[in-house]
Amino acid sequence: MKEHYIDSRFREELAGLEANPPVEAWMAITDALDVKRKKHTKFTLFKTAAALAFLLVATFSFWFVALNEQTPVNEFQIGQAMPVPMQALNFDSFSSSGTRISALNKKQINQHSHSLVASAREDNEHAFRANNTSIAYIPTPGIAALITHMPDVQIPVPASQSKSVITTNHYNYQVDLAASVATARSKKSSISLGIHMAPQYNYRYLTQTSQSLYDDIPFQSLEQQIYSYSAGLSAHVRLSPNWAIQTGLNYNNTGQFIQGIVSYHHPDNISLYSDFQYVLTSLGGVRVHDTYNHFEDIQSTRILTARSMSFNADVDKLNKTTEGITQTFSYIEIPLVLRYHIYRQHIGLEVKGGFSGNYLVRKDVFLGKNMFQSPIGETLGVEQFNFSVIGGFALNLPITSNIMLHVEPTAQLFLHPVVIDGLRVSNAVPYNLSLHTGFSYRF
Amino acid sequence: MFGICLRYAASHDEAQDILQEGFIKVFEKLPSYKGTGSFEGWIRKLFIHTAIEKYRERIYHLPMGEITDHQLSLHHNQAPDMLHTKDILQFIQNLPAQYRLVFNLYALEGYSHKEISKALSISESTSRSNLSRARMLLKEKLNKESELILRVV
Repeated sequence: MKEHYIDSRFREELAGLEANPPVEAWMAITDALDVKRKKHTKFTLFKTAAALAFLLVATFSFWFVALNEQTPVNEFQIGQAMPVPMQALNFDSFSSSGTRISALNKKQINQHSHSLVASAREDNEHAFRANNTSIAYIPTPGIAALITHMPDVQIPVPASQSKSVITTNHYNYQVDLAASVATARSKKSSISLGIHMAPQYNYRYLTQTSQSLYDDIPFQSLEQQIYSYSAGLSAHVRLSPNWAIQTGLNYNNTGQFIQGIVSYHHPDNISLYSDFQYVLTSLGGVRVHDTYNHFEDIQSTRILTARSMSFNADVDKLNKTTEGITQTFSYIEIPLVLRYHIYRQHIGLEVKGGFSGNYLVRKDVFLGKNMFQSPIGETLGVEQFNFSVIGGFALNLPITSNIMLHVEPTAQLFLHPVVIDGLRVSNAVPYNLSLHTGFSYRF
Repeated sequence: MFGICLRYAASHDEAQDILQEGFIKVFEKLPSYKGTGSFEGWIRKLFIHTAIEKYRERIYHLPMGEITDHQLSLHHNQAPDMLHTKDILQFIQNLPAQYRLVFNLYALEGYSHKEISKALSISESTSRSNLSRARMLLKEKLNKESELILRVV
């Protein structure tokens, strides 16, 4: 094709165009770069401070846990063979016929050391301790129990056995107790209630665009992950020493950030439109009901509506306010998760897996990345009810005998696209990765 | 690079703005330069992209109306042989922004209408129409100036 002579004329004329920018232009560039560098430094400092804070908390937690482990009496010593001064026993005190009694005062117990004693106490309380490892008492007539320094562990021992076992074969008795501790603990902690909060990474994966009309829109590069949170209450029921089932109620925020959408706003807060604007995303169409913002798509053709601006005077006053919008989906979820203990010493490690029924309660869209402002719109055509699968690990750290700290890296994948077929432009399936952190209380 | 900025800008000040933002982009994106193409070409693309962004930011300030003589005024006190780069540049700078952008991209940078339509989020037919209007305006102005120069001579 022959080149237009105007094109060639201008190209030739401007080929040798060289111009030196004024000095103040270089100064402005230097200043702008300095500002950016300072911002970067501030962000780096923030990250360093956050990392230090995390390390401090982690160190403190482990130190606290370790300190608890160092108490004079340790349940895991029960199974060990220990020389016991049998002559210190006073078995007459086991002939109890009293009513239920309270647990022994721990301080009093710990004052005894390296001896096996049995004593009759007030209110028909009978106790013995062996080598500073265990304490038994008789809470009800004819039943002996063993408690350790862990107040949640009380092991009933039939009275018929206790006397003979303790007197005749103390070593074997202790071995049996070691096995009984786990059983007793699992029985005692069959139900626990917890609360958790989770910082969360949210995104979606795209399989393919379902309508060729939108093939030219590179959703993958125009959308980004967001960071949000989830929080909730949970209930655990221990089914066996290793298996537990968990349910609860969660509030979960997922979504994505839409790049390349620039917002303009009138400085006098004047409404610019009388109708709506629409932004097409891989997770459905966003209807912007805030008429104070005018949006421009600077990287593709995702703004669908050909609307007219109702405000025309002083249009040159419009200010660019922010770039991008955040699309969120808030669910109330009821999970059903199975947990299996794969490691249990003082710290427990579980794997977990299950699913969740999710009910959509909000589908807000926000300006920029600030999800604490008022929403400017909502996503249309979103499924009200959804299912997701959940998987992950749980690290359980006992803080006290009843309170447990949980740190649980968790992944959640929605089982089907959140947008209904009529408005779906692509097969976008949201997922999130989170770190559930919380406490539970065992009853 | 300032020459490129001048071509895409309506004024010297706007060209400075593009230069500033362009250089900041260069510093920010330097780590992403993979060395596959020429460095100058890479920087040039960044500056063109900056100019396009600038155009978008100012899109509401720009009238779509007809170009006027005032907009295309030339230095009439010049000698006939002084119709030089500076004047040619001013012709381009005085074009309405949407025409200037398309003319720059197509005629001077060698972009296709398809590429322009993608970069500016306009249809290919709009790109073609903007180009032909830009050419027409430039041609008119060149003819007008030639007549003026001949009369002065």
